[in-house]
Amino acid sequence: MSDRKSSDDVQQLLRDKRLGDLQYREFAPTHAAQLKLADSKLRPPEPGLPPVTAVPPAPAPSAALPDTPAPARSGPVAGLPSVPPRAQPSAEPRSAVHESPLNFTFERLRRQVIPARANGPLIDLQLAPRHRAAAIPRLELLQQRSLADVFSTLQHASGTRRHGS
Amino acid sequence: MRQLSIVLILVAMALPAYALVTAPLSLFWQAFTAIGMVIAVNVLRRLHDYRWALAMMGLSVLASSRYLYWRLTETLPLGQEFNAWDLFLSLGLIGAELYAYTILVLGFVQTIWPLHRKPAALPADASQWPTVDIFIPSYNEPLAVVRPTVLAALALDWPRDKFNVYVLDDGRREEFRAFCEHVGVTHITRADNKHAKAGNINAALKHTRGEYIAIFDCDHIPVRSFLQMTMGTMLADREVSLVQTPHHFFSPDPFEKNLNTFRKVPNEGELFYGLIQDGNDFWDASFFCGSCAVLRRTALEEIGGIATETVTEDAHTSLRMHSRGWKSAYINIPQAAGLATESLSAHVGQRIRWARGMAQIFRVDNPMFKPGLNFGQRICYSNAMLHFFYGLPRLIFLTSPLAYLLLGAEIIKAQGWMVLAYAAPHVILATVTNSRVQGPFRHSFWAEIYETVLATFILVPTLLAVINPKLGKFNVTAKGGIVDRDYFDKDIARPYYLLFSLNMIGFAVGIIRLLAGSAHPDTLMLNIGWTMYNLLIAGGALAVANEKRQVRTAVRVRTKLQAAMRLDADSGAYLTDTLDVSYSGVALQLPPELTVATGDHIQILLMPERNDVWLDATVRRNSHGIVAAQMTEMSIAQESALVQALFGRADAWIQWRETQRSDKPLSALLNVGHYGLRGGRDFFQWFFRSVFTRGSRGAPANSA
Repeated sequence: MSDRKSSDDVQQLLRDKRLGDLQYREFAPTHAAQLKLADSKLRPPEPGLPPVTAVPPAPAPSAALPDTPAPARSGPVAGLPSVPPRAQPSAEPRSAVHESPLNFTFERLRRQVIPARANGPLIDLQLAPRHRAAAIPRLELLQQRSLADVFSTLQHASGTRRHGS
Repeated sequence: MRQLSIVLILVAMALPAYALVTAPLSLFWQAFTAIGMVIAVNVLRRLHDYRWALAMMGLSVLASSRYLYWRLTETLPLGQEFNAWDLFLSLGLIGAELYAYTILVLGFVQTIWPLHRKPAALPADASQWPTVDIFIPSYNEPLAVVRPTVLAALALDWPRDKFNVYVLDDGRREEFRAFCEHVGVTHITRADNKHAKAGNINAALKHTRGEYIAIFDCDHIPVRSFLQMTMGTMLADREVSLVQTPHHFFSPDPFEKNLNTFRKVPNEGELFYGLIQDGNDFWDASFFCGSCAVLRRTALEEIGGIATETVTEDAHTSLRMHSRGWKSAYINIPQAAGLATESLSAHVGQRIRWARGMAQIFRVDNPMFKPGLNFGQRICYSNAMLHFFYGLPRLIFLTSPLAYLLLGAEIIKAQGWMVLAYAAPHVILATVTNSRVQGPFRHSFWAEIYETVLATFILVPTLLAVINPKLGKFNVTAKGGIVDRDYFDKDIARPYYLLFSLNMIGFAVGIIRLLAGSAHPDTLMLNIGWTMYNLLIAGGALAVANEKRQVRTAVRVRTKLQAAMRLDADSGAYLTDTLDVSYSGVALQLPPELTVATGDHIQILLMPERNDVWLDATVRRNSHGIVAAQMTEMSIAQESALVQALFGRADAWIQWRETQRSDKPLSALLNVGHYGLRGGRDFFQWFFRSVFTRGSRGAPANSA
């Protein structure tokens, strides 16, 4: 079984669980290590990755971060880029199912969107590559025939079938 | 209008269903119908749309209903040629079959449409987020088990001034107090241990003020996103009293350890947390499971705190909240992980408590009659409680063919082929439908092994709890222990080898009777086949009792994390990946440029892009490009860094389920059969070794 690299934890969770509309906030300050690598270069461990991986929160005015977390007030989050506020996601879409369990019908079941089921398994059929080379010349040949030819062939074929049956 | 249309649809469906269930058929036409049903369900199984699973449930219920109708109306041994003994045994079997049928139908209703609820978003303004008290109750667990839970709780992504961590120490231990003081959490004790865990939590409720209470068993380590995954649901709907998340285990339970099925076959609990709780959520009936959950304080206070009348205080508490009109929610994303029970005896002890507790609730607060519950909640709670009464039916199924083979009792008044024609579609359709619905959370035929292991142990406690619900006390499940050697747990296996031996004798007698010539060879062969199946199941239980050694107190978790290692603070670092990590050590891929030897001191940094705390370690093994190192004594900062990298990652446990294999019933049958044979072999080995050892021990004494 393959264990994927899990250091990108929050985004990995949001991605794997398809929680795209969920905004995540980090509160504990993250300290990326400044590594002195054995080849004497000073560089952060993963240049491709930002040190903090979180879904951008709503309003994030730029402000200096306190060393100790004091997140009672809204706004600044460690190391996050400033982005325009996003619309709040709507309330839980399937909360309606709690009205009364007796009320469900098959139609209602059909309407419920369950992403887990909507995405069926990907089937790898491993079919052989398709070759159309044989079909095209024959089709072209048939299309080039005159109308008289076509009718005479049809007449001949139906006559043969009658005699054969 | 809608209800009228539902009633009309049900009536329209009921009439043909009644005809299908009751139509008398000859053997030929019944066999024809059986084959048709089996083909139909296998075709439906291949259709991906989940609505076809509902059709499979309907077909399965029809097949089972038809079988039971036939059993009740045509096969009871009534008449001159049968005696009271036949009737007694027959009624036992029909009772067991009725129980299994009830559980099957209730199970289908319970899991008809798993909700797969997604977490709800929190307000953008964190100042609007509520305050949460984190409770970590403990009684006699060692501090080493509790430390990672406390450190992970402190690292939760939630405004630091809006949550407090409390260790509820019913053991009143000084070392706990000192640790809590050191890391900055509150240590709460009380004068007595009244009402065990429930009483412990209720006592702490009086000393705290948070709007919400998150509860973690002391060995359940939360991931950092726990509160943000659960609290949105609470804020989105003010009537939700409880948000539960799965109990995930990162160590193998006794089945997984002794059969070597860890992360290959779903364990006993996965059906409940993977499917049933999601199914309960559709009916607004997801239960509180005692840990990895958030509760609303107002709801808890309204019912007088955690229920104390039964030993399964969790389910009882949520039942009470539901009956007061509160809702519940289940987020099926593992947001905490814990240690499974190490030994079979500890596992059995835990399950006895659950069974006794559910039977107590069934007796004192029966969900079928409790006011305030809706239809779905009654079904879900009742099924959860009735499930724990499987002890007697399971034993009846394991011994019924012996009534015919050994005692000559005619408990089914029908010829063998007719029984097969009616019973086969009932069993096959139920198996295939359950396989489709339960998917990766429970493989076919494994329920038989899980239940056989526990059946004899929960039989008496459940019956006693129904007779007198005040009997029994809360027992704490032992965690974090070791099994120092391989051994056959002959004490706990006593019922299994009794069942195995009886079926072995029945099988031998059946073969002899068959060879000697029988008036009803079809009936004889049917019973021999049933006995063979029972032998495999009892053998599987024996295999579980063959305890495998587990000497590590710290469980190694196979996980690939970015890491860096260096020889000391002044030397250059090498980037690498972990292979597995535990609380006491780590295995890494050794960078080719680096040379280390056993005994060398090194430093390791886990997840360097979000952590700068180096761990000190000593190399214990170094071969094949892998270096295994043992941590030396850690400071709190180092321990916290290790906890956050190993247990606290938001995505720490979500991949486990995705790698599960889906169920294939025939393959599962072969798998169970394999373990059955292995258990039988282990049993004979143990038996002959015991006899031989006893004999050789006795010999010198005699000669002397």
